[in-house]
Amino acid sequence: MQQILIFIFKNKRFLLFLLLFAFGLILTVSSRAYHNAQFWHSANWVSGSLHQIQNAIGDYFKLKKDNEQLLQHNAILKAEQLRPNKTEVNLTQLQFSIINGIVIKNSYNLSHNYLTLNVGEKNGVSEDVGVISDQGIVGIVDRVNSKFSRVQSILNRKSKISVQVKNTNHLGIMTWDGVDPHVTLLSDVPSLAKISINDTIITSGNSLAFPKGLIVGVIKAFNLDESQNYYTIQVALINDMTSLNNVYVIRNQDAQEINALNSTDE
Amino acid sequence: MNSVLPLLALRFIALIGAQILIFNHINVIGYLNPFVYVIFVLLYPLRTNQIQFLLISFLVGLVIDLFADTGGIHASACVSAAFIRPTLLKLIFGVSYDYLAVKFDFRDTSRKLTYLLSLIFAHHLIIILLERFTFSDFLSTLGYALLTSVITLGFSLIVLILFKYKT
Repeated sequence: MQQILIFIFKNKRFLLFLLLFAFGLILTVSSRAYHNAQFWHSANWVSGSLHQIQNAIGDYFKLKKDNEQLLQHNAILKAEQLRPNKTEVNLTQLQFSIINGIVIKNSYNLSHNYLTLNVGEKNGVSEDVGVISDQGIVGIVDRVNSKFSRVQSILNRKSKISVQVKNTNHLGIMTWDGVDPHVTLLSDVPSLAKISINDTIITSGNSLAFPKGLIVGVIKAFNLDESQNYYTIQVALINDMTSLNNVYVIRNQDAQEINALNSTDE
Repeated sequence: MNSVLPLLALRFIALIGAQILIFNHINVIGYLNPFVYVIFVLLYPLRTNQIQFLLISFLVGLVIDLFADTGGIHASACVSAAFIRPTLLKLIFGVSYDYLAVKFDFRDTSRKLTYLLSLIFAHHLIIILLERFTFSDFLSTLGYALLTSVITLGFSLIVLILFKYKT
């Protein structure tokens, strides 16, 4: 017993190091693995508030660019409004409601990137809803509290987004390899599909997060995998993930019912 | 120790604030993100209680993690850097390092730069390994860590010179 105590006392520095390092590792792994068990993230009120203050200052420097983007977006909406045959409104779109949000923290140089938005449960954001910008998709909300929400970016190795090639019905899974913030990977598109470079990739509508038909990017390059059955496609994102400010959270009004339906299978 | 406590507290707040508000937004050539806050660990007073030093380093990393959404990566890296610091000091400055009072007046530069760069590199390598969480493509990880370390060293030297940072 005494020897053990002496051993511990002699090596207390090393043992403390091991303990702290292990604790750090546990935090790291749990932030990757579990969905809800963790407090240590940027959407809690301390860091959320600081990021918000910082963003409030930084916003002024981006006003000009934001204005230009909004004007562009307005122009598109105007054109849409003036189009003669606007009777073909897609009724299924009405099941989605939109919440405006501002990105107060963004990252794109890690392999697991997250964004923080200044909207939370109070504004109607809930977990697993999709986030888009006016140019493309951004990610899926993975954590909310009353005032802030954290978004798992599409630039995150954990992200899997169901997409399809426009004008075909071949579905695929879009992932990211952690290298280039402008390029993502698309797999599981069968070799039967007729695809070519610069084909548009859109969301498939298979997941509850995104409605069908949102433009994601265009095909940059593709080749067959080893088994010759599926394509591996590089997708150039239209959205510039390195510069995001105004985003829209899409709430699927039917999500609860669809979830309830699916959970009865299990 | 009491007289340095306010100075250390000031450094703690200033360096972490600078890291979160400024350096986390600097991406040299698009993706190299300097972690300048690590000089808090590097230049923590030499004659100190090692246990206390480990705990404080861990805390520094944990606060950075909180703001960067990185789990416990920075905490692990900081505590490792704090752990290997005495060994590294002995290696570079010889056995009598704690009488040498490492000051950054840039006259005996080569040793000090070696010390800074090697400890920054160790810290960054652990961060990047934990962040990627894989040993595959280890060469690219090494290269990336080295590049980022050089960038961090550059920014650190600017901070050290600007604020007359002493150990």
